[in-house]
Amino acid sequence: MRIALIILSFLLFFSPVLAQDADTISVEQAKVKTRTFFDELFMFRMAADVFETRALMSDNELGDSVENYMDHYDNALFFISRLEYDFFWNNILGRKKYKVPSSKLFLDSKDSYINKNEPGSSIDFDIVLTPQWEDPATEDKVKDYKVQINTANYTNVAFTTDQKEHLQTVLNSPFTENYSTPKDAAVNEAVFNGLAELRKLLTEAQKPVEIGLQLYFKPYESQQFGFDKLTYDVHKPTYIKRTYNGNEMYLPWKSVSSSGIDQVLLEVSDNDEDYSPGDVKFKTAAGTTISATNFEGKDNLFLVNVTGKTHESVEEIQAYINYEIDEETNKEVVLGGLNTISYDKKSINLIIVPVNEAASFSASQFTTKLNEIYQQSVVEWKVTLDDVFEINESEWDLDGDHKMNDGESTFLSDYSDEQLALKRKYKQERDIDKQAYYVFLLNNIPSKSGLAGYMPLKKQYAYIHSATDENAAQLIAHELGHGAFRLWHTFSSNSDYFMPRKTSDNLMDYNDGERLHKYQWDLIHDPQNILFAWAQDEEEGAMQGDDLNRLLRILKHSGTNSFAFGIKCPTMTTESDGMVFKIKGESYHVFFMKYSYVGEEIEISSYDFDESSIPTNLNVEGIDIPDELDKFIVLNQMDAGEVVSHLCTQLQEDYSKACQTGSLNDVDNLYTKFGNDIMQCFDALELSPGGYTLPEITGILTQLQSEARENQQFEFTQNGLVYSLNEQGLAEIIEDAPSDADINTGNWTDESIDMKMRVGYNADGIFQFAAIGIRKNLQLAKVDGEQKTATLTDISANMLAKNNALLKEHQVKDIEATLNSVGANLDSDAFPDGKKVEIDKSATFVKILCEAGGVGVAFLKTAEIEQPVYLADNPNTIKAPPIGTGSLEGGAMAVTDITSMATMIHDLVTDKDARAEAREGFKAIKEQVVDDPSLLFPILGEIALEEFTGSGSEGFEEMLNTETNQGRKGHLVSKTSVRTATSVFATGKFITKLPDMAIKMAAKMPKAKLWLRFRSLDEALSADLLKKLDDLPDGGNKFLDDFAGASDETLNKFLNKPELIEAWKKMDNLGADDALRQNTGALEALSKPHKSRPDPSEYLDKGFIDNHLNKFNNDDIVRVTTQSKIDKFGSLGPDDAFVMPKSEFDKMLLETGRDLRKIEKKLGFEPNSLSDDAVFALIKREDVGSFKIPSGNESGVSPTKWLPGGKTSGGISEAIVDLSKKVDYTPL
Amino acid sequence: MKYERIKYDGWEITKTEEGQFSLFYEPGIIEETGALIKINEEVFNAAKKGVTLKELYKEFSLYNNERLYTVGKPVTPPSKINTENQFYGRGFIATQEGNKYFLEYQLARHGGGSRKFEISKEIYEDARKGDKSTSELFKKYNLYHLDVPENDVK
Repeated sequence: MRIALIILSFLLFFSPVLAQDADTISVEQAKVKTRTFFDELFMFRMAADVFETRALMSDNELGDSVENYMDHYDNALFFISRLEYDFFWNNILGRKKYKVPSSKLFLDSKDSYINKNEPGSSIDFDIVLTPQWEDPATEDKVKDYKVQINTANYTNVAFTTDQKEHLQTVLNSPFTENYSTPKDAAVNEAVFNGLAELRKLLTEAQKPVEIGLQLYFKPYESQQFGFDKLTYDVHKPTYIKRTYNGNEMYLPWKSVSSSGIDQVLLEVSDNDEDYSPGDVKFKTAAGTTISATNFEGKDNLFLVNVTGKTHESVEEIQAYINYEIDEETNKEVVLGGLNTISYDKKSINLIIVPVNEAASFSASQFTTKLNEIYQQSVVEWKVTLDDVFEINESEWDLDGDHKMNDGESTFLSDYSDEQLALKRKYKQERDIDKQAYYVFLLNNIPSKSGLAGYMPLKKQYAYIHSATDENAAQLIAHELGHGAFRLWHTFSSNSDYFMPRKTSDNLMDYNDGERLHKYQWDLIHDPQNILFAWAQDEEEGAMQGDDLNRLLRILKHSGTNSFAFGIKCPTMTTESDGMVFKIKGESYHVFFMKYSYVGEEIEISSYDFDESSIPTNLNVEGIDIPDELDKFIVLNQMDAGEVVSHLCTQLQEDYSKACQTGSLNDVDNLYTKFGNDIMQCFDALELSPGGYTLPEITGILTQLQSEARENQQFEFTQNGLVYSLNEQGLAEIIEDAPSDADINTGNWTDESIDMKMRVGYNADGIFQFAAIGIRKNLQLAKVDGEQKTATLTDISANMLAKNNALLKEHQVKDIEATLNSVGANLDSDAFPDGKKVEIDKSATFVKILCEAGGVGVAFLKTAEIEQPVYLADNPNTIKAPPIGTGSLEGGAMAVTDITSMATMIHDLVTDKDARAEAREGFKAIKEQVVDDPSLLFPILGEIALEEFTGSGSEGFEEMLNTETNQGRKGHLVSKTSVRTATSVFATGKFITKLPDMAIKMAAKMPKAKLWLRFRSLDEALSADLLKKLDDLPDGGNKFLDDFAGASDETLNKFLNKPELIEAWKKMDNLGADDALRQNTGALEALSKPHKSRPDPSEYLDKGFIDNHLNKFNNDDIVRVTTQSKIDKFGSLGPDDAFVMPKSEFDKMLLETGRDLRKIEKKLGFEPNSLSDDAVFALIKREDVGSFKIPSGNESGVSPTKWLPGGKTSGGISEAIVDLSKKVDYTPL
Repeated sequence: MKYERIKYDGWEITKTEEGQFSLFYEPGIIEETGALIKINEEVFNAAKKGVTLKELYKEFSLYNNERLYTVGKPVTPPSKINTENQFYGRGFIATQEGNKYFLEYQLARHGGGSRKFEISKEIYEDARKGDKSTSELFKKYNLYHLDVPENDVK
């Protein structure tokens, strides 16, 4: 249909006649089907809407909707095996990453009710819904349903007589009597209630019995197809999990061809007194008996026959025994299982092409090995060994390095240029079978990357560089996995089941493996991975990405929706990529190209032709194709809803090779040539679709450049094309223009240009910068022998953002707009030196931004601000307060990296908030200095240094160069440094990021004050203490939070016992809460050794203790211990055993999901200390005595993890209680 | 999110600070065993409105929900019989092995475990009197220095 539509839409440009859309009828049919189908789905709430729109959706969209529906409702009930909808459910349930969500019920109307979450509890259970139609004749609308539930097939579940009677009552009475003709919700309720009741009974009936036999399915050595059992945990979702007789297991997969047969082995280990391996029988899950024979005469080894069914059907084979419940009752007890999956066998042709030398192996040898690998997935290769293909190095080695460039290997998306060259020559010389895959054996041509082989995903040709007799089959099988079946490497992030490289035996790993897993069998047979998909898209021709992108940009620029290229050849052939038309009686080979806009991107429509629908003698209306024209291009534009066609006749490029070979794809640089001719066509036709014409762009660029400095250059961009002024001062399209990213990163070498600006207009017509860059090799300033550094991309990115924000704020659409013309004012209020930032109001925005950028770049080169910026009586576009400019220069002298200062320059001009904040910050600092200079100046200096350098006081010392500086303490309090800081401040030697500085200063004040308090309490003792605090990871800030308001008594404790800092740090690391960290008694307890810690009542107040113990007194408790110790000692613990409240245990399980490793963390255990022997013992509150808060002296307490205060380091409340006497418990 | 725990007769519901929900019921309420199961907010809110547990199960088919644990019948730790050379005390076992005497005791910490070290005959005989717990023996004979990981019994 798509093919037809595209052709028709193209023909529309030539002719107003439109054929009827042939798909209309089938759409209507789909609607009817869908409605009927969904009516049978109980008219389930939201799903009705989903399916009503079925006909309008793709399968993927529908899949998304159904998934959303299932996510939304806890219970969703669907039929999954109605034959006519198999394709649909395969799509929904077979999606790669789709997992059946929890609590979803899937109802199979034919066979069984399956709870997907608890495989193994499947119930043979039919629900029959009989729609009651309003009009039985048309069956168009359901008015009601009759519900019946049949439960005949539960004979394999051993119910007691009572249970059976109850089951009959439950299943027959309510539904037939009460819900025989319910509507909608009542139906749902009836079904769900019934299922819940049945499930409950079955759960009881299916309780495990004691049987010592254990079963293992394993591959039969002579099997014809595959066997796959769970080997790597990552694959668990791909195996069906069952619980048989209480044992959870992931069933292995066995592949078999549709309707074919195969065998699998079952081994039985015998550890049972009552049952022997001979008692084991086999059946399908549906109950069909399976034949098996003892293998090699061994009683415990069975060869089980497996029979294929229809394509992709899954069948479970179960091994079971008849277990005797009592003399009258037996029940089938399933002990193990295996899933078979059937596939239609794929038979595929493979042609091996030895290049320049013969292959070292025969086709038959190779075929056997290759098929041994792919038989796992029911695939057969038919291999042909082609004649040796000769090619000279000069014909493929385009870069002359004697090695073949590899294709893009991460995404396996395409061939390299050199691989294409070899392929092209082969295709020119040999007939190509489009239904076969090709492998080039390149034993004497090494790959550039060293890869042994390469084949892009879903492509036709593989390149193998180092095949030997031993590895050829594995190597080629691996590449065919990519090329024929779109299998990713197992270590690719694109793989659904990632495993690290070289950690598996899989064919798609780099470990010489040959194994294919079941999920890979499915991918190989996935209808979306259709074989020979490349037949539509792998005509390499000149499909070089850059050429094509350029052509698309050109077409987009012209507003063209499609174009046709026609060429008249002496001898005409029909090609897959074009058609032969009769135009004015002459035969033309015509190539069509149509594309659509997807956001900013363009997509080409791929299409083919139905020759029968093409008129043999085309009458092209509205286009006068001159007689004897040998080639032409028609451009089709949409203009006010009508198609306007333009004919380009003056084509300069040579396309004659298309006539020689019969294929346009053989024309070298086809898209480049199209692009060149179309651009010529624009000029000839003077096309100006929807943007600025070339002369207008010349005017824009001329104006812009006149405002710029000599070392600044403008480019203009429109519709994906980039224009600049040429030497004649005329705008022209830049061929192969650098990307915006190239501009932003300063990626050019012309040293006469320091700054490039690429500009254009946004959708609202506002003038905007698309890219700004500073030349990346700009020579930065050197001051006093020191080479300055700067991150130029950060500076230019800031310019880009701030410029565009400014232009948007003032809605600048005219590049000649000035501050006056838009009524804008960029001046600041007065800075502390009385001067302002002043911007010339008669200057254009373009001029202002050029100057801001220019001053910044000059600063980068000289570390100085250009004098006109700050000199009085010297008119300039930008004027700034000397205090600011002087500070910037001072800062530049003091630091190596001047990025922040260059950024500040631009911000002062373009960012009003930055201007205001700088001024306010500057004023705030000045005011604080007045308040408390002895404290603030040193801090201010340090902050300034951090802003400049990211370093602390060490750098500050260098900047201030104070001779009296004797280390940090002396530095902070010395008058010399105060004087120095004052001097620095007053003379404007530093200023950047003033707002940040003011904030940081405010933050640092409390710390400085606390430090001073320590010093005032004891100058000598404080030295070590402050060093310990400074050495804390955050410089003591959190300690400051805890003790900023502490009493002198508390501070003296730290001065007298500096080890309390260690205890505080430990508490902090273990996540102790604020109250505990601030409790010096608790800190002392923690700092003492095990067995000498004080009673908690010495440092915790009574209210706290009572409150804590109430959690235990009002709840049951849980003790974590081990079964072996319970058995050994006959008790759950000693007389001071740690326990936790049940409520917190429950919460912990919710959070950890019973993961022992996470539980260890919560309880403050060392990793891996909990084993499977662990017991969570629930103890009734009334069975134990009184609780106490642990002191930390209890036996076995962790020296590193214990915390005072009754909580583990994972935040779980704990207490101790006497468990040394016998206490009943319930294991959880 | 605020922690909530609402108790009913024989069952309770909980909402954690992290927005997780659970339902606990004692044995004999819904079935012979009790359980802690995960529920969602919708069920939690319905339970808060005062519906019975059975109604809740019926309305939301909670049989399918993930179980975090099942509460079965209570168990009594096995009884231990003292012999001439082995005495089971309160949280400890005192043994005589030839002419040596040992004390093995259960650890108080979460997770349990035990440690064992040699003791004097005097301590052994005192322990056998059966009137002292582990911690009382430790205190009386100052055995704390022997409570070290090196004495762990695997």
